[in-house]
Amino acid sequence: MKSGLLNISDLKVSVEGNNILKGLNLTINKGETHVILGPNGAGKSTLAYSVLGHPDYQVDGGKIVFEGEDITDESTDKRAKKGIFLSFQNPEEINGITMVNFLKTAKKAVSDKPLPVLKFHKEMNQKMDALSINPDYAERYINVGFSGGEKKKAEILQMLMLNPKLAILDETDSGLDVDAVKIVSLGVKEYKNEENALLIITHNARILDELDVDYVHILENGKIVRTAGRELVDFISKNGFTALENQE
Amino acid sequence: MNIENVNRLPAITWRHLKINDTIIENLPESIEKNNFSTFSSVSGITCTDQVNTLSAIETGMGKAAEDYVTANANVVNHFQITQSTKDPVFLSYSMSNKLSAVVSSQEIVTEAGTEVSFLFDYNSCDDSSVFHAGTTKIHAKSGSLVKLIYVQTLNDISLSWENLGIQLDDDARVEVTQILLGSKRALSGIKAKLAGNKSNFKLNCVYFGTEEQNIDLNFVSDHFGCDTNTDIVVEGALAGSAVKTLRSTVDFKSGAKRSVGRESEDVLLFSPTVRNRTVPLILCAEEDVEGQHAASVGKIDHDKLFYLQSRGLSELDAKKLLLEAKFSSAVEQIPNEDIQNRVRAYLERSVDANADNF
Repeated sequence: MKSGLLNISDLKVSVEGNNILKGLNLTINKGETHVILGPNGAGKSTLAYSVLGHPDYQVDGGKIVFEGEDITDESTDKRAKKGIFLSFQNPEEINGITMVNFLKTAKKAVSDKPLPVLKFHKEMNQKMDALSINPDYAERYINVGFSGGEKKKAEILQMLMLNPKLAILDETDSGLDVDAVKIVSLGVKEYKNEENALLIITHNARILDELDVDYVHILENGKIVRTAGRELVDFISKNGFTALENQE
Repeated sequence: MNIENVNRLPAITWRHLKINDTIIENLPESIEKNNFSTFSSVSGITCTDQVNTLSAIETGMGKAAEDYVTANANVVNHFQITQSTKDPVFLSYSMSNKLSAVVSSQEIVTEAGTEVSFLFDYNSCDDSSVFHAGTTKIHAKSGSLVKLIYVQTLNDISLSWENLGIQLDDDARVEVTQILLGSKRALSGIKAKLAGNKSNFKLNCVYFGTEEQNIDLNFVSDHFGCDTNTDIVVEGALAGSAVKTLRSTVDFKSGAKRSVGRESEDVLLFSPTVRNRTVPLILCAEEDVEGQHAASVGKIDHDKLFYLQSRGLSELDAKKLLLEAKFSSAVEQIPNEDIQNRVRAYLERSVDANADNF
């Protein structure tokens, strides 16, 4: 039996008084890859932010349990330390902090132990190379002057370096050209193993090409309205969400 | 003694706003006259103690501050740059009860096409009250480049000011970086006259005001030449009961066609008792110009905070990191690793000491 990693039950979330998630249930076990599809405004990014505890997202009901522990009221950094990672749809640009220093600080923060510096640099260089990130970017300020694609690759680099138990990818493939999607997809494949899990929010089936998808969920109007296997991705790509409603 | 009409706004506004100018009070009546010049000659730079060649250049803090320095100067340097130099001219004053006052009157003249950089460093090495007052006038002749980095980390009971007057000829560039972290009262005034065509003035000023600190700034860029360019970037943070006044002016004179002037300010406020006053001013007597002003005043961007926290940093650590990051690009301009490290350590101590406010 697979062990439970993330358990979301009856989650209700509002932003500035608007109800976005209206009783969402989702269980992710170790080793699984879940995909969330849904029309714009359905609450996909809200789900991602809520799992990480963004202060603008008010939990009005339900709970989020990670590895058996209720984290609904935990601070964002504590959730990160427990092993949850979010690849942002629009990663922040932060002047004055270089990527390499940020990665070191983050690695130390999540692992809570001294950082073997040489090993860290070797690992970072290897991963940057695999993701076709120019090595100079390590010394540049976080995402400042990066193109859309470079920002997304930098998110995946962080994911690979921090090696979380659960990685949530919020439209990591949007704004990427075909080659970049392939590179990112391979990066995600490298991360994935039987001990961790993926939750991929996407509009685009191409990022899934290299991955074994276990479950596909359709999120509509704040709830998961259908769950199926990979075939659902192909159906939506071909026919759209409206066809799904008509089918019902 | 007191000095009035310091850091005067080029176009004054209502008096009740109390931002037209400032007063410096309780100045020492006399200063020990020894010449503490710490410059050792290098090839391409001659240094004398005759400073009267640039008296026509106006300064940002104004005549009264200049006159005080002229009358009391104990550091007098006239630098004539005849060849480009790689190594920065480094003037460092570690102030203490033994060196409690440095009043410097300096001139820098760069001959056509030469490049030079200066690093002025004022720091405290004990907890005695010290005083630094400086006038520096720069004449950047055609095609020359002057970089001036001013670092002030005096203790929080001291008084310090640096008063600059700059004239730029055709194609000349002057880049000033000011890092103002210390002193109970810290003042800075800069007046740049972009007289030559295609001349270029860049200023990056960063400050961190804490406790009872009072920071008073007046930056003026007068565009006379065609195709001239100004970039004034002021970034800082205020905590405790600190007060900061910034007057930042870009003045396009008639004939300064196709000139561009940008001024921006970014201030983080960490306490309800801080006072942040800003007067951004764009004066325009020429139609064919572009003036830009941008300002951001407030708390740390909570989306940036969330981003850092989502990578495992606690809220306090993330705030400290974002605050220190504000100063990074200015600190990186310091062409001396020891001083860079000292400034970072000073900053870290200030940030830690004020973390309760965050």
